[in-house]
Amino acid sequence: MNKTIKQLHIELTEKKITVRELVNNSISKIKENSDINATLGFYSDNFINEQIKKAEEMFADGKAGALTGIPIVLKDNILVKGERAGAASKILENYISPYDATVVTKLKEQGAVLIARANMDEFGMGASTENSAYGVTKNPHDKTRVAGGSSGGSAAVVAYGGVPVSFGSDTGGSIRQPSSLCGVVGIKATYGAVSRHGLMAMGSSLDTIGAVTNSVADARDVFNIISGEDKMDATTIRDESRKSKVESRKKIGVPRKFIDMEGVDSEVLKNFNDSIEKFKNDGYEVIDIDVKNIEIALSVYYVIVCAEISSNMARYDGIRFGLSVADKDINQSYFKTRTEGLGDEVRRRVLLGTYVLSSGYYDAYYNKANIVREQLKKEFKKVFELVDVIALPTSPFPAFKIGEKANDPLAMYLADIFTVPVNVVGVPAISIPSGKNSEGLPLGLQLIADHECEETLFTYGEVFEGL
Amino acid sequence: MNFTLDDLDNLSKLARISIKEEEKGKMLEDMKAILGYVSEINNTSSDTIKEKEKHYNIVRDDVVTNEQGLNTKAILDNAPDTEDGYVKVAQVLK
Repeated sequence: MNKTIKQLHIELTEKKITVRELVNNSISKIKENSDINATLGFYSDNFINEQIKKAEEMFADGKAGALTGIPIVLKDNILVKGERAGAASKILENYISPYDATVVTKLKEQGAVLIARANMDEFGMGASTENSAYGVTKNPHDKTRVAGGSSGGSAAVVAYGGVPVSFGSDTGGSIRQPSSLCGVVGIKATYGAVSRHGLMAMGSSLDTIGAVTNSVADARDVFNIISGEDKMDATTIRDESRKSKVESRKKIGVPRKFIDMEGVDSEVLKNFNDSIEKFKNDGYEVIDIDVKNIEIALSVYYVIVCAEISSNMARYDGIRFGLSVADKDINQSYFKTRTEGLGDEVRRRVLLGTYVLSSGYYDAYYNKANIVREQLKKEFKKVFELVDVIALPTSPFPAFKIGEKANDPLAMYLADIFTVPVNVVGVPAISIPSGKNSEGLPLGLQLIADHECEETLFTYGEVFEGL
Repeated sequence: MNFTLDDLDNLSKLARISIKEEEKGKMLEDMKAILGYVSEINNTSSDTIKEKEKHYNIVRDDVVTNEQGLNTKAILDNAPDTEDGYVKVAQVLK
């Protein structure tokens, strides 16, 4: 059993282990598990040493907090000043971050020790980490299978005990799905709850930063540290308008029709039903809910995300940073740079996004998707008048074989069927381990709450962990 | 799904992304499958009134907030080609 942040904090406080020992243990563990390919490289020795020193001083001065001295891995799309970051893309092979992400600033203030960069699907586009330019991340529970994605490295490194917490980004399920496939806890916050400043943009109206941990309590502690208004991100929720705690009605909604559709693995379904049964036996009321159009949220998502991707990826032109391939004129060098530097899935999504935004198709795709998005927001609002949380399996199937879906993008997109509605609507959700299937592969339960009701998720999540 | 090789070539030009001849067949099939799938959004009604968002534009005074030159080196160090503190690009107009 991997140790939680809370347990390690006690060990550090009681001097059972020093910060340096803890960090060295993490580094050794990551090196031992290099075949999993969860990380893309360590941060510089100088930087790691500075952080260790700061953490030791904070302990000595009695100023240590929950994350002081805790080794941490960050997804490769989060910036740390003076260190490498590349979103697992060839186009950013030599990129050095010019500034800290706000999340990183907060972690540094806490005295946390950032040690390595996590592997991911290139720019966050994928559900298996197979789209990384640096090779797939293997699932620690079965190395012939994927770790999920796009934050596959972040989930795997926590799952094999490399670090007690890692950070990822979740645009359509990229924290929750790999967490489910690797058997760890993944929290996706309300859109705007955590600053995106310093996160490489993919789908700007959908992107969120969140964490992978070994327990729900750790997820709560980490969320409370990284969330908050930020003047560098105008979409963050203002501190004074943040919702206060909501009373629990002990009521769960299950969109039965949506879950019972084709394509959901029978063991996933059984495990989900067992989880719901546990809540019922503990005195929770479970009602069947109907969320109109939730089954087409996947389509809404892919139209919107591709549109936003096509805009956000325009900056990778080989002029100001990143790979630059010279050719006979500047226009040809754009083509060369983007074609050599960007992988298949990124190129496919840029082309799809260009299509749905182009004149003649804009109304039928992008505009329509935004209309349905508004309808979905209203549907969720109605549901949350009745229940505290919506429960769904996190993924329709357990970890799949490496290569199984690699050549069928649509089949890969369907891996996100239960996670994308959350991003489309902007609400928070958590994935919690809910057992294993007959082959020993982890399964996850996803709980979804109303905007800014992360605390409801943590309360329910802790209850579920105890059932 | 009515999506042709000409459409693909046009998108490729707009997005400044080349697709190799041998990749075109697969890319075309994938794009058709995905666009065909997401077209289901058009089977829904279009009546909705946009809810008031909690997010809104935040403006600030147009003043320099950073110390001059604070990030210049870090930014220029990432540029493929520079000269005298400028990013250097190939000639655009001939």
